[in-house]
Amino acid sequence: MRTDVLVIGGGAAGLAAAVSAAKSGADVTLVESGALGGTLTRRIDESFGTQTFGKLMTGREYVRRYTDMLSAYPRLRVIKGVVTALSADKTAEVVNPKGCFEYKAKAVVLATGSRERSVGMLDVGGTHPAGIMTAGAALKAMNVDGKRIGTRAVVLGSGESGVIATRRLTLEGVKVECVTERMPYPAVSPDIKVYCLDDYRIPLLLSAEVKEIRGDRRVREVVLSQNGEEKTVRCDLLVIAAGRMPLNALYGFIKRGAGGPETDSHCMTSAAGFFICGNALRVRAGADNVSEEGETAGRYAAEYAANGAAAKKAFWLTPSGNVTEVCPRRFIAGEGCYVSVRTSRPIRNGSLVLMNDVGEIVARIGKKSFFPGDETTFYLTADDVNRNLYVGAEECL
Amino acid sequence: MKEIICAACNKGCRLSVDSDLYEVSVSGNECALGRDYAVSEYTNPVRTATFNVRVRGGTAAVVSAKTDRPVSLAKILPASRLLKKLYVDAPISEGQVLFSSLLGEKIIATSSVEKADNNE
Ligand code: SF4
Repeated sequence: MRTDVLVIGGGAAGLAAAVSAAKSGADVTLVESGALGGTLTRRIDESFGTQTFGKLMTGREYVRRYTDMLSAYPRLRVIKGVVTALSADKTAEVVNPKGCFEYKAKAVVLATGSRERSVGMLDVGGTHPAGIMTAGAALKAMNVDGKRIGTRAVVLGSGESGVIATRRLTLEGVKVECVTERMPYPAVSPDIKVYCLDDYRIPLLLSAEVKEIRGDRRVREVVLSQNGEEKTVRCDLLVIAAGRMPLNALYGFIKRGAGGPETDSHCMTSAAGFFICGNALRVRAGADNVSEEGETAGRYAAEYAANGAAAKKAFWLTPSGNVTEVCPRRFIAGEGCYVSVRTSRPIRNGSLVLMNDVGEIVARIGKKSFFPGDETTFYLTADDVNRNLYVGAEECL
Repeated sequence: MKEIICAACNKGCRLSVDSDLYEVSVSGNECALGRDYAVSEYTNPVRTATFNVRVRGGTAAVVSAKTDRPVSLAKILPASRLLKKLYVDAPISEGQVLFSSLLGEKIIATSSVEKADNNE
């Protein structure tokens, strides 16, 4: 089967990409293996939509806004299935209960999302009995399956998924004894920390680690260490919120840098006609940002499918100093675009600093706060970026 | 005196709030929004609360729900405990009022649940 734009994954990124590619006039095939909306369907908390729809809504309501849009485009098909292979000539093999199908696309949008780190990937000693689950699995059990999953819990990790799971556990009647964070600061922005932890007086232990899990059939207690001191906390549930990793098994042929595939400001990878967006590109907080990126990817994928590649001059943006990540890495000359950065430590009231290749500062941009658990986004104009640049961040005086 | 990190925008100013008999005073805010935020957090923080409500006779065991407006934080845990004792009957459609007055607040569904086929 032939299609202009093949979108792989129907979460926040893929839905937005499919709708925007269809809006640009392309024939679109969206492949999703589970429920449309991906992990957003587990999010019943009201944290989404202000940027995209101008109104705060729950994850589910946000997804329904998008799924309602799909039917407006007769040339947009949703296929339930798993993409088992993808080749550099843009042919994808899709498997579902009806059989195995081959799709030949003119452009491909990878929106495959991310996977949570599990306890096995962490350095935690002791036994691994029942009662250990990832934050995403905990949210699904409570919000989708309506299950009661424990009575007393410890949550490992203070990132967004950890604190959101903590609040949900609390409202479902599970007592969260504490949330541990490896770093000396919370891995989530201050407002979310207030709404999820402080509101319910949940202790957050900074610079703390789960050393050991004890219990035979079910978790009985965990040993925590904080600043060299150890203590034992009784619990029957350990929730792992140790971050997520982009799912990227499908596209070994796309060149990657240290931080994953390096995209340009149109979300195109180094492989022409392959676009990547959302958590598949890099893990980030907030579905609205992901949707916006999906929309960009979908629009340019449609343009690519219609007109093919037009070689565009691009400048490199390279992270430097306490900036650990910059996205996109290639800034298309002559166009403005949003650039997101992450820093290795929190900076209150900081500016983005643009430097040339000998380290001279050519511009300071904006005045915003940086939190390691989240990214901070700046709009850079074509005048800001007219050569290869290094990107740093520093406190404003 | 209380220290509050302002959450009214993502700048995250550190605010201190103090009060005497007559007024609440705020410092550290860089804009008026921050003042309003601090006063509300100090006197009566409000949140839109979201819940799962158990469903009888539906294709799903629970339906997601929220209060129809921001409600006093002090009500949220008690409301969640009360809801654990209650059921709603399928079918339920998004936006439907599940409880018109739970601790005085309206609870509405944020997703839909169909009626289960009963052919057992
Ligand atoms: S005081 Fe104003 S500028 Fe500071 S965080 Fe609050 S809303 Fe933002």
